[in-house]
Amino acid sequence: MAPVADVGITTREVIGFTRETADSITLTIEDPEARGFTPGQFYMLYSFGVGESAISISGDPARPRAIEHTIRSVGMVTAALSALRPGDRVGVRGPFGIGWPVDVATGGDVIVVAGGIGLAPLRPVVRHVIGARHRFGHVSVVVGARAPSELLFRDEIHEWRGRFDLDVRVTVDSADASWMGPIGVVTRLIPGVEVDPAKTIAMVCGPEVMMRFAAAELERLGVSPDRIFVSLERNMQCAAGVCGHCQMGPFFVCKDGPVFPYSQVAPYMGVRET
Amino acid sequence: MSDEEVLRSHRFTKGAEPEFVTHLITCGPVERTWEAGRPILAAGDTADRLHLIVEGDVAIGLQAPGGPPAVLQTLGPGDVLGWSWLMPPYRWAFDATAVTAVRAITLDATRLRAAMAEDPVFGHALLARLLIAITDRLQATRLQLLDLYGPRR
Repeated sequence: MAPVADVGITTREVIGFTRETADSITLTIEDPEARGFTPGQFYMLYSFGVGESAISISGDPARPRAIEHTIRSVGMVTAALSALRPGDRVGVRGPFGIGWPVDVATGGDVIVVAGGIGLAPLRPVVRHVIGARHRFGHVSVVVGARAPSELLFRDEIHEWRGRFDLDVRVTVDSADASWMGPIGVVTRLIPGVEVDPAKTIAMVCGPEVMMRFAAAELERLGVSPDRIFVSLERNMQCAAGVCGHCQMGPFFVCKDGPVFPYSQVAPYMGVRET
Repeated sequence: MSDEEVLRSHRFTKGAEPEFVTHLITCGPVERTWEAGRPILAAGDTADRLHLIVEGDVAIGLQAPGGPPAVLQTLGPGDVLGWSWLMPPYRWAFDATAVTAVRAITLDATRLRAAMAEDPVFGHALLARLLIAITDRLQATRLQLLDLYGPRR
């Protein structure tokens, strides 16, 4: 069962900082209670005097005392969070939400498809799989980034690629001649992945348009939409399914998600927001 | 594996009727290899073959004045390379270069066009399969243009 959050805010210390790319960083925040989390869950992080933002957990579920969050600076709150350094204090609420179906995937094959910052909430899945590798079948990790310089967790991806028991493929949308890997969108890599559709669980995270096209490619490989899972991003505020800001059709993304079977949310993903 | 077996196991012919592959075989499939860095086809040259990539990565790009070649996309095993032989003036529109060692099954374009004209059922089946590849490439290019991971607009 996924850990359930206290609704109240607590203050925690930042104990680690890593710059990932020009606009993305990873903060490590202590959790003395080591309550743990399910890959795919998120915290509400509060920068004092600035505001609060939903940030997914990007760290290792096996390290519950050190919660990692990878943050892309795109607005006032994320810019303030990105300016924190070890020793600073941050407000936290969480963990919240329904995470990736790692239990359902156990015993079968796994495809992880990540685009851009979407790799952050999927990194705990890969770490979980590596930590219990014998419990999974064929595992593919497909990663797309805008450019080589914007690829998250480069050293870690390099380690994953060195393993004989992971099929790791990385592409970038554009690159100069120094990049020797594939160039093109991440969905182009999916047809080449080895898949046994009946025993595969796919976990997809990235911009919603990318997820829709990735799901279409996975369906072409024979993976059923109820075995494809996507993580959605909406305007999450209360994180408890009360305020309604993150409502999408009949779902509250903060409480019923952020991870959903694609079969459940596909009808709502292409709907124009007014 | 023989060229015929490689052709039958290629993604381009997946699920095809046996007659379709038999027809392709009459169009002279030849296995060709390129070392990394070697040109496979060049913009402006006569588009004379259909390439089905079996191994390796291929960069699609163009030579830009005053700079290094611009790579737009890479192709890999299972991909189709080159359809300019379908339409006059039968000239390649882009360059293709082997990024790694590349192995491909190539088919003669003149014989393919003749076979398509001679047998419309085969012609339709071949066009339908090429259209899937062309559509995939078009959609991928559109997604690239959207710059999905770029700054929010």
